[in-house]
Amino acid sequence: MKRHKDLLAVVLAVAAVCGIGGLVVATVLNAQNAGRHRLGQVQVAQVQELARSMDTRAQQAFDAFAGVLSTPYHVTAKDGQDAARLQALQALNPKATTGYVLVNKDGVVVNGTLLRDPASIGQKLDRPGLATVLAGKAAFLPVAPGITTTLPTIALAYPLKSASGALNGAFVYESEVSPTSQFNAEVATLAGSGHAKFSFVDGNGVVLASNNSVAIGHKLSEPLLGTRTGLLRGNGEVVVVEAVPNAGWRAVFQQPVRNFEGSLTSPLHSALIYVALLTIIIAGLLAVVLLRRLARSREEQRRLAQLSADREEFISIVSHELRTPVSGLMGFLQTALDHWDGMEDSERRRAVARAYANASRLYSLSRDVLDSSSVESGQLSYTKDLFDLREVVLTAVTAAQDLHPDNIVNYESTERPLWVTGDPERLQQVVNNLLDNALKSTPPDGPVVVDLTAEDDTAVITVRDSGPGLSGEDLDRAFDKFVRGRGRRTVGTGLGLYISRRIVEAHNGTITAGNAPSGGAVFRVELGMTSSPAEPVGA
Amino acid sequence: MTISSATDMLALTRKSLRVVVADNDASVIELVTTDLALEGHNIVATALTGEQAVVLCRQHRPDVLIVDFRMPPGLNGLETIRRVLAEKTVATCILYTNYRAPHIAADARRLGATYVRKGPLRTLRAALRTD
Repeated sequence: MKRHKDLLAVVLAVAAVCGIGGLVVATVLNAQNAGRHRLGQVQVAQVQELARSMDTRAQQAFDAFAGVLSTPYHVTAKDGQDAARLQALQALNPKATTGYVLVNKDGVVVNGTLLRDPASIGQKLDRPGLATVLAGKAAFLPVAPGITTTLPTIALAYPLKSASGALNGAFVYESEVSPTSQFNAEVATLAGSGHAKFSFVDGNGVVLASNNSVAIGHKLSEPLLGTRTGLLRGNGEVVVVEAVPNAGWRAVFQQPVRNFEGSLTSPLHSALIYVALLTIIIAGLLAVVLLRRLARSREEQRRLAQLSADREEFISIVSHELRTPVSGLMGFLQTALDHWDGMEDSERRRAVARAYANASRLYSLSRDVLDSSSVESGQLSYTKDLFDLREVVLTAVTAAQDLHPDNIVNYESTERPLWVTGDPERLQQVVNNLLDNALKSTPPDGPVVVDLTAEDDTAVITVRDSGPGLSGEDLDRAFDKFVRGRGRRTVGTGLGLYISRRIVEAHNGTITAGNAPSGGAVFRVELGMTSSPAEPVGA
Repeated sequence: MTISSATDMLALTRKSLRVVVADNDASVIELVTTDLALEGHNIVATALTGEQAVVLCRQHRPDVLIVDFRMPPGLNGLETIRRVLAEKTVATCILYTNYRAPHIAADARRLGATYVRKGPLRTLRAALRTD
């Protein structure tokens, strides 16, 4: 459950970071869209301006020819006066590469300048849109082969009227469609950076002028070039189309999207990638750090909870263990006091002895509790002296027998002194603990056997009980803190062997636990011997 | 008359009960049996485990079973009381323990036993007197 909470917290944190990252991305995208929109507006405005300019010029051209053509033409084949007037017009622009043509009301060529083929006179002029002009409406004719030049041409065609005002033909001025034409020169000057193309196309979609010279005279291949105007996007291109109404043309702007928006979107795309990467990295790091911190926090919580539980258990054990000898002490004294006169001497002595035994037990328990605290803080004190270990062990055995008169404690000791430098009281505490454990584990009819011998320079104390022995787990943990035996009854604070080992190790000795071949547990203490004041060791 | 003489006289007039004492702590057994014997009661048997107590009650049919609560690894005091009452080998049971958990006293009373906390012996003596 706690693990699920941790994961939920991490998921929420990562989601928050991703949310913030998403907001940043959304903001950037929003800005990008706004920028793209504005860019489109600017481009549309530019093309509109271009279209307007061209439209004005077209209108000016119509107005200019209206003046020129105010005097009626005869519009008859090879009319001299008509020819002279045409020549005069042609002479106004000596470098012109295209000429003028007169057609009658049937569309047949009757006169012209710079005709490629004089035989054109008398031939019908085959140009789309001419019929509209002959019907009385001036117009720019779409791109078509010219008769005054070999190049494709557009033509300004103006309806002619007789003196009586009747339509009698059309005046056609051809202008070549080529990259070098004066007309195209103006479009060609438009900046074509980043593959931008500016073109004018006629009503049939044929390019009549463009800064992309290869397209001139050909139909513009642009799938988006339908009938719509304005900003169009598709096929990876941005296309702006605006009408040039007086000429019947359209101004067309084309550019690949990546070039059109590159200066705007490229840095934004880079920023988006950085934001996305940063978000992922931060989210990933956050997840890892959070999980680790939460794991450490959970571990610390577990450790503290375990410490608290251990402390509570220790307090519970100690209070329970102390209560028993206190009850025994008070109980036997109360019995003796309440029934003194009715008791035999032996009964009184026994009651007082039992009270003393419980008092001793109380003393040992409280000493162990205080000593364990000193051991933890490294302040367990020793008063070292040179003494015969036999005396210490004998004292401990005698006290144990007195406290447990119903048990059998067999003691065998070497006959020669075993001189040891150490704290006799602390070492007696060790032997007391071993005897106490042994007696707790041994049934009343079973003996506890204590041996004290010398092996080379080492004094060896063994204490063997007649209990069930120690399991593998008990052997591993026998000297750990708070480990209590599983004998006939589980009593004690679990501190005795823990403190005993510390005392033995402070005397540069060893203490080990095992099982005797004949059954029961055996504890062995080894202590280095010292030369006696009177005789060397080993003598 | 001294207090101790009055106590002794009270002991003479009190009904003497046949008692089995069960506790995994031999020192507690020694204390209780010593005191109750001086009170005039007859300690017919002692046990260190719940199972032993059940067998001894079956054997001796005592008036009172005084039993500790926690006697690992076998039956605890309440389980022992439940068995002897089911077998009708004992008329009265006293749960004599250090454990203060409320549910232990409630469980003992539910079984029809008396709960006595280990402490001053007068409490245990009084419990036998009311029996």
